[in-house]
Amino acid sequence: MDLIESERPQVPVEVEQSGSQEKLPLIELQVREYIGTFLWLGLLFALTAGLKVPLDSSPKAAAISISKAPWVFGAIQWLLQRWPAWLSGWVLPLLSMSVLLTLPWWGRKVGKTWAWIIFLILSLVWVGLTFVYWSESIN
Amino acid sequence: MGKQGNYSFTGHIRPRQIRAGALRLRATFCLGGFSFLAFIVLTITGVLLLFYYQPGDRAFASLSEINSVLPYGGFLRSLHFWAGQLMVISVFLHMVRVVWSRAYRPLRELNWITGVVLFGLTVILDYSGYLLRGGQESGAAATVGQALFTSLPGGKALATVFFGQPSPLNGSTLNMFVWHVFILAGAVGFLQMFHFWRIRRGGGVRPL
Repeated sequence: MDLIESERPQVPVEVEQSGSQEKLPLIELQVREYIGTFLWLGLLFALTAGLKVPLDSSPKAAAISISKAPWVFGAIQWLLQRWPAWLSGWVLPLLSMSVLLTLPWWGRKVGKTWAWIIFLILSLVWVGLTFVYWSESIN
Repeated sequence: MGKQGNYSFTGHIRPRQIRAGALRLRATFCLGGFSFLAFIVLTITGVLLLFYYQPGDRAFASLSEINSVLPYGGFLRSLHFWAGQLMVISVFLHMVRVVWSRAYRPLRELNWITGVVLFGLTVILDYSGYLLRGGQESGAAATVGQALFTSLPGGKALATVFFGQPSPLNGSTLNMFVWHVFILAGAVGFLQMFHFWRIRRGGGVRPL
């Protein structure tokens, strides 16, 4: 069952004129999928072979003082070390997620450029803090 | 939903023809596909690890055995780890690409929301996997997570449901194992299928 024509998204005129709406057989997509799969798997196997993942410290060993988080939560951990838990652990992450979830609405309200700027600032702050936490934890 | 419904779903996922414009590498950089590929690798390696991994007090010992005794066990564990890290990175980059190309606009709003939820779940999956390592580092990370939950009103019960009773020296519990292997991974798998179906339904067939 195909889409009803009225449900399809509007195609910009420039896209129509560029010929990118031309239809190609599925094999064209599959060939690209296979190439991408091999390249990605190559990267994964190279990482696996080159960088061994160490075990944690044994729970039966003498307890060592650790305040560690996986790198994906590095930004939150960095904030937790400085600000109250309710702010760093709940308000800021949930606020950021809410802004992300409502980005289409922001796009309509403040325009696509501002939506991009809002997203960019959010991303740079979280990625930046993750790098700061990571660099502090290895030094 | 009978035969026709099934045909409709597979027809949307694998249509006979695709738009030429959607095949350009720069249209997607294959990032959504790479994320799904990571999920497939994670599922396969995760199922294999399930045969040997034991959550709880035996977590660290079972991982040590996988690492040093089981043939190719260390490789399998590393593969699972790196696929997880690559998935977080590719899902994030996929989001950046979607915002850059403004692909969150109407008719794709629901797909954007699904994608953001998928990103959140992927990060939580990564965290829960970290806790299942069962060492002192995982115990420390579980303690921080528990403290965050218990700072909420009624959060103690929530913390017990999610974390179980981890020790500060070992974050691996049966609760965390069930969340990681069944609930979170199942939710991510289901939402991904929904995500792909919505992309195809919106007419945006993309490479990989």
